[in-house]
Amino acid sequence: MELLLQLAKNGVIIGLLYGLFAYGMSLIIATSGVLHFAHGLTLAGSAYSFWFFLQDQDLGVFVAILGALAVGGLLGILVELGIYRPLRRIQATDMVFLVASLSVLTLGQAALIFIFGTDPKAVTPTAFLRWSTDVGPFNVRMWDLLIIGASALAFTALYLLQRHTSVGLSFRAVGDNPHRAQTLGIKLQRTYVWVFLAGSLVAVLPGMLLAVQNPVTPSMGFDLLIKAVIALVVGGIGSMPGALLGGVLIGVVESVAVYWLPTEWSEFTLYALLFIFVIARPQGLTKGALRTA
Amino acid sequence: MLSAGAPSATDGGAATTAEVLRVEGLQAGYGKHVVLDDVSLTVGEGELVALLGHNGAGKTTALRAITGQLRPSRGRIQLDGRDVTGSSAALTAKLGMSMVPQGQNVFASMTIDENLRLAAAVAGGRPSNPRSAQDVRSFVLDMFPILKDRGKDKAGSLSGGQRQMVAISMALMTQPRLMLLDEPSTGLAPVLIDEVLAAVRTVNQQLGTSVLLVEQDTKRVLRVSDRVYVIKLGVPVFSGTPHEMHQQDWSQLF
Repeated sequence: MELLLQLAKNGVIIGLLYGLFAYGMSLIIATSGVLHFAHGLTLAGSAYSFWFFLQDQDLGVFVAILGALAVGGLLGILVELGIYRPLRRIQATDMVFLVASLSVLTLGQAALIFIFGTDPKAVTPTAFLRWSTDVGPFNVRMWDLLIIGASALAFTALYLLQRHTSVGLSFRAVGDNPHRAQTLGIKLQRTYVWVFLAGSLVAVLPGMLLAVQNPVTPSMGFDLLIKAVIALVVGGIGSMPGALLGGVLIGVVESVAVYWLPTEWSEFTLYALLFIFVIARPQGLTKGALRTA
Repeated sequence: MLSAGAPSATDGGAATTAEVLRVEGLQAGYGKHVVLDDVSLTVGEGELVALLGHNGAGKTTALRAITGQLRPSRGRIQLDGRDVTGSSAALTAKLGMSMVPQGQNVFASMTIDENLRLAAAVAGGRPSNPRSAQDVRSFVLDMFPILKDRGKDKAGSLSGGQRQMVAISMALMTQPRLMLLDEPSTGLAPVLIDEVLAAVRTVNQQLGTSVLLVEQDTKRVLRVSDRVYVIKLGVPVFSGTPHEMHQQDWSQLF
């Protein structure tokens, strides 16, 4: 029983991390309509940058955080400006966007291998990161607290951004009705750049948090992307509670499954979950705000 | 009677002081297909001008060309004396044109309050704005109390008439020099059409907002307009006051 509780707690924590990544992606999808699979590259790129500045260059954690944020934000903006904007100009179909986005992810991973090699890069855990304590039946790690803190910070910031700032309201307006947004005087192209920046910065948080816990690998972006897509289908694309709920649900399912099933089966449970939702509740737990047209 | 050439200041009879909008010889269409040809019109400061015509007469095309959503193939468009021919929709909006499109003209997934705040924010800090956003907001909420009562509701949950009120209010929050309305009566019950048109007239008279109103419902529009233009199959066929319009043989105009 104690093990089960511990697995559930770990599931919630990793689920929050999935939720963060999924929500950044969901924000981009809901505003721009682009299935931004290259979001995985943003995650991997920021994780590598964090490792590079912290471990390889030894520039301190502060510089590493700023460096990772800069690289992550820049990757998002560059993909929007260099790939999606030209595609929008020629009125490419969703399928073209999807293939282009996947290509960016694949090429980006190849670039990471070219630059850093295939061997995993690990951040040496400091005493700060190794700290943990027992609370009731749970063993609480510093990593858990960092993820809870980062999630609380990011979700609160995004909530306030989207309800109380003009740029956040324009994200929702453009996602809702781009034509009306334009007649009101909102610049669509500029809004897309802002939303890619915001969504990508959110992906830097799980990127850095993964880098301090697990070795950084070129394929980490793709691995997380799969989980994020499942989280979004389960939770409902475009809604913040959806991404959060979806992320936590798959985190818990994946983690708790190990209690009954062999470890290598844990991923299978996610696909089973995805299958159930696609058949029985395709709109997700919450009704997503993704525009269908 | 035909206003084929450039309109003069005496055109139509109403005493116009400064011209907010001046359109000369406008031609526009889609590809090689000319929908609108040689249309000229003016809207004076504080005037409510209607552009009438049948379905397919080219009214919406005219609005799209004037607001920069469609590039005109010929002609000139001036806003406050500034040439805005071929400007982007974002620029004409910034310079003070606010169009209320037909149909999906509110952000359905956002609350009424958020719709209004966004509209105010888009035009925020424009130095030419004569009133504070707060003033316009109270004016709008006094005129449409339902928007205050249901401020926290999603705009998508409103009826057609209420949506039209939100859409007009959004346009007003940007403090436009010229508000352009594309058939606000579409899909509304007759009693609501009167209500919406009365609101447009109130805005025009109390805020002094100049209005270009595109409509099909000629009889109702004549009651609220200062001047009227009629186009038929893309060309102008009448220009004058509502009084002059009543003396016309309408079967020739529509």
